[in-house]
Amino acid sequence: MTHEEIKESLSAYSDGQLGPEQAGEIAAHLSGCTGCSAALRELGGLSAGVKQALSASAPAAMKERVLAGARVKKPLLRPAALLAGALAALIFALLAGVAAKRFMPAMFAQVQGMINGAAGALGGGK
Amino acid sequence: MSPEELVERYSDMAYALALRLTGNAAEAEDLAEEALIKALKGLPGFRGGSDAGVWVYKIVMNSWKNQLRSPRLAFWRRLRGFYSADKEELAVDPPDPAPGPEPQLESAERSKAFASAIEGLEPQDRAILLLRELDGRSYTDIAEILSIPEGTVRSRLFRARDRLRASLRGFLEEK
Repeated sequence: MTHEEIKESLSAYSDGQLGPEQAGEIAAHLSGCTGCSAALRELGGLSAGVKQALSASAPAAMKERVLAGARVKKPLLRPAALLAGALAALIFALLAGVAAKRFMPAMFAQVQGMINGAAGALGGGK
Repeated sequence: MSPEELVERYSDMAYALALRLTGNAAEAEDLAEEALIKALKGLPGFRGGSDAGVWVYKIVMNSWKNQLRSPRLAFWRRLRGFYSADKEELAVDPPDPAPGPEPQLESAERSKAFASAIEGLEPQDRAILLLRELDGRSYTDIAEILSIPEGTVRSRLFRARDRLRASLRGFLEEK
């Protein structure tokens, strides 16, 4: 490795992320190169400061929300979907009634009679 | 692993990672929460033999990438750019009490310099640095978490450290 390549590998060397051959070559170089030895020491100081600057604790409330959020099971249908479905069913029933009155008047009168009869029976029962 | 164990073990790192990616405490909380809930919901299907940390942090990274594509969040991010008030968001915890006021002041100055230098890095470089320095992750793990080649992890880490060394030289020489 050239001197420049060694300088660029010091970061991985300090992390212990090089293979034994490369690591050995750098270790041998460090014993005779004050510049690279100083750079390696700087990396050590940098690491300590970076650790302190990067550490952060998750808010306790967030942890609670995560556990609560994972427990919640999604309903099969959301309230908005249920409301839309009910409205669609009502519109369909009204349209079906109008169509039945127009195109099947006999059946409409029969159904109307049955409904009136049932309503009368309920009213009479009071 | 139980849901409680997963949250206890990985929520601090997931939050720290989200904080370095977004650069904002409120967004980081949302991002970490979303990612951890996704992880908990996927926990029954998680293969026990693999590394749960890599899996959780990868979910954080992917959620962040998805958020970046969200036009709503992009709007708020641009809006926030006009106000630099939340630059303070990334400030580190106050340093430990020192014996006297002078060392305490120096320590505070040092912490501030480190925080500011780290803030100057690209979000992904901050993530790489955090995964290496704070969690001791191998380059192989980091490559998997960020979905980038291992050689890229090595070169980006070198460049990030080189930039930090250049801007923090005064503080490193004192050591």
